[in-house]
Amino acid sequence: MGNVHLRGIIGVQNEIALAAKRVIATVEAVVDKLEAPANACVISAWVVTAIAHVPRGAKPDYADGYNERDNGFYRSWDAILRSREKFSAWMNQHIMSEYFKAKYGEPML
Amino acid sequence: MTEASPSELMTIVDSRLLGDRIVSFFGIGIPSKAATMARITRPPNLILIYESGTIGAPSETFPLSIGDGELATTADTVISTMEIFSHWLQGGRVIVVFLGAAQVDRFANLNSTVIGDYAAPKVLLPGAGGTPEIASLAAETFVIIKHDNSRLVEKVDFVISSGFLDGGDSRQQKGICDSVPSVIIIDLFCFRPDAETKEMIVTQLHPGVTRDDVCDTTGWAVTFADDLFETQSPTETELATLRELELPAETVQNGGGE
Repeated sequence: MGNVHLRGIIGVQNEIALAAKRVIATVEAVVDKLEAPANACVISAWVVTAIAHVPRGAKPDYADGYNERDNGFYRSWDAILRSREKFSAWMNQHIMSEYFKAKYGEPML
Repeated sequence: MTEASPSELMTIVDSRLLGDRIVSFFGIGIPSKAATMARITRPPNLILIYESGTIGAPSETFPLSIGDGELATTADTVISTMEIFSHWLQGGRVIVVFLGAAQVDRFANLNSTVIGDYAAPKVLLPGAGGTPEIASLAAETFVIIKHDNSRLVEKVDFVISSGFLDGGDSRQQKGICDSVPSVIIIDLFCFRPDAETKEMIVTQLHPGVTRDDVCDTTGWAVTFADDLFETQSPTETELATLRELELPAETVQNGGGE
């Protein structure tokens, strides 16, 4: 169907989706039927352009009911971001790496 | 027990001020720590609201962010951010908010947008988030700021959140609701507004702080209240509670990586 069920702290995600021209949702699970209660936040299929099935796609952040946040990483990110040197090293290790390129192709930066 | 650090002292002063409030609304850091402490050390009639949408989270440990999953799973309810602002804040249901800023001036106006000229800024800052709405609509605003001459200035470089504007009744004349900045908590002392002029005057000095320390720290010729008083030193219980609360979060944070 393509309806997307958001849960937990949804912030302004619904408003963002409805304000956008195109919506791409990365989802934890694709199911035959959403078991969403009547008051759940569900973005209707007809405003969703595409869905990508990306389990653990929120990492290192959390997805309610699927994975916990990596708090160690969360804490270390501020220091990484403040230094060009540390940021570049992190990018090289995690995004520009041969492993990443082999798996996902050349990064588009 | 070692003496309270400046941050600990601010947290404890905040928690005392929050003691008998009903609803508050705040961000991460000293505000959330103070609110958590107040919930534990005072009668538990404090309801915590985060702008992320959680209402009534028991907050027995310090969250790392306003979007922590634990806040959602333990809250009475989770609503959208829009609803927090439109139904709760604009509806006049939020009693106390905490705000921080890069600069605050003698009439409690806040700046978190630019340092220097707006058109050619020396420093570009992240901006306001929801603070203009929050500062206009909450019943009372607490401002928390660390002392520094460049932060406590005669006039902010850019007004992003309205305090008392030019003082006197200028806030009312602009049609901003009757909410007020009620206290500015600094790690050395506290300001509160003068009843008439609305200038922020020094009402409270933390232990060991002198009037000269205040003058050296503040970018305008400060006025001291006639009934200036000294902050009561943190009690052993307050300090122990605060430090105990720090532990679980640190444990998780250090052990959370993969």
